[in-house]
Amino acid sequence: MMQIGLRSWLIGFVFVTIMLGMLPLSYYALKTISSSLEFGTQPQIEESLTFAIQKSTGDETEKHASALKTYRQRKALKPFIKREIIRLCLISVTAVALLSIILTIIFVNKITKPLRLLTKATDSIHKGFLEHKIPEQGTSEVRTLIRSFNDMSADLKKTQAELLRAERMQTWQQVARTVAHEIKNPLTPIKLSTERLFDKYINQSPDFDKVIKSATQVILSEIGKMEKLVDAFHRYARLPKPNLAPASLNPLLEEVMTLYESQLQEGTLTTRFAEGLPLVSADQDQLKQVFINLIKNALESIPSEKGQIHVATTFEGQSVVTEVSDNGSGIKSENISRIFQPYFTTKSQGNGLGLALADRIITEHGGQISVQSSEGQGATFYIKLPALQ
Amino acid sequence: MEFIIGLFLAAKSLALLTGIFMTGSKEGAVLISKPNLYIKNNQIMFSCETQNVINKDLREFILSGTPVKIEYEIFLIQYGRENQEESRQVIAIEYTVEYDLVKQNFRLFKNQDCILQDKSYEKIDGSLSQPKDIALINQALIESDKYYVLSVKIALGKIKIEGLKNKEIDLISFWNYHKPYLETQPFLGQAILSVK
Repeated sequence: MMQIGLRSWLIGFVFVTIMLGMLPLSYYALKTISSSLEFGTQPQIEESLTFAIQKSTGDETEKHASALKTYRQRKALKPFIKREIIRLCLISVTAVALLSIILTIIFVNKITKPLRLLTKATDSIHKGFLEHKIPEQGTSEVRTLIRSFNDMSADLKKTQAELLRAERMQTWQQVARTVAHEIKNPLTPIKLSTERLFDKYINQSPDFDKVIKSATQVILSEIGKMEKLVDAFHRYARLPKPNLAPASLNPLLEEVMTLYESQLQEGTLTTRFAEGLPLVSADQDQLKQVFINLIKNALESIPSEKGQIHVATTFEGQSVVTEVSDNGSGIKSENISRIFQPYFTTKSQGNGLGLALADRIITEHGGQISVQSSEGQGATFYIKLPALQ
Repeated sequence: MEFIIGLFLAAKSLALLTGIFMTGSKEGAVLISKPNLYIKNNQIMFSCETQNVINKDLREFILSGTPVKIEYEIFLIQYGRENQEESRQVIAIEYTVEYDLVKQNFRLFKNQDCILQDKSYEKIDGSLSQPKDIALINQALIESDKYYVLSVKIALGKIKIEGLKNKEIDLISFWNYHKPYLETQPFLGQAILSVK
């Protein structure tokens, strides 16, 4: 069913009220005019005056002729007077209707504008952008509501920052545990291989040569694994400072998407890029890495049949927002708060650093990344970057 | 009645703005046709035919004894090479139709001269619908190799109405705010001079 907004209701209501008020007024005016225009409809007056002219002489004739002239002038002009008055009424009604519509729209806009701003701000907060502040306007009640809303969003931001700090602490503890565990894993075979080697050497075992070969292979393989682990961590921990320059997001996204075009069925990847999008200050290589990570994750999540990935850009407030959404398996609610943590992954093949890296890059660009998802319903990632003035 | 007159005058002042939207029908509109130039006594004379100049409503108004003025404006424009206007001859003629309430007869004036007086309205109408012998320009001033355009405008004048407390109204409302206008295609001066 079509939903009618408060604005439309108010406009309709005020307009109908004004028009209903106009109807009896117009009816009364027309009735008054009709009765006033009775003049000139009595032929006996005309006949009498004509007769009087014929029978009188001198000044009397002039007098009667003048009276007949007046009578006939009014009689002749009557249809025009009537038509012109109807014309005036129609113009007045049209003018009043137009004016009432314009005034109603202005008046209703004044009332509903703060409400629309509140709705937009609520939506923004829902998407995770907590810095949204609404300028105080409207009636005193609405101003109070806006003030409360701004206080609430400021509190939320503060709480979120505290939570983030606590989470970061917890994350680093978790990372330290994970790294320790990952390093400890290859240490055991290294230790066992070294002990075995030592044992064979002490006992001058005849298969020492064979054992040294296999033990060395094991040790080198485990050291290789440790190197990979350390490299990945190093990349994450020592991400270079972004080399910022004015960049346009739409062409950058198009460039990233061409990398995936050959792998996807037609219609899987759709876009809706806002025209005239402002530039952002960005390290194009790092942003490309973020978009690649998001599209790669979406690709791994969508079903092989009827999979959909949608990439869109919009301009909201002072920020450029990029949305990457998919209709894949989505994220379990208990995992949403952890997906940007390093080494957190739900995939068997992942190293858990992709989204963590994306989060770091966007944060270092002065932006925010957030996600909206529920299990089985797909996921939407929002990247908000400050627009250049 | 004062209120009604006030309303009427208010509406009338808006009429020029709204006339276009409110007067869609052209039925009964005043028409000009058959514009003609001819030579008489070395003068280029003009004649034409008109329809509905005095319509039913205007006739009723004339019967009130109010003199009604009908203004004809005739333009003969001479064009040189590259369509540049070189000269413009403008002739304005005023016909006045008057009904004498005492003598019960009609009179038709051309400028100040009474050219017709009759009890019957039909003769007046016939004369008004075929204006002729309107002197435009001396024959010697016409250049045979130049192009000319002839245009005609008819208008009704403004008048003070005693029956409306001497308020001035524009009689053009009787023509539904249409001002009849006719313009010919360009023709050579030779074409005028060759007509007898």
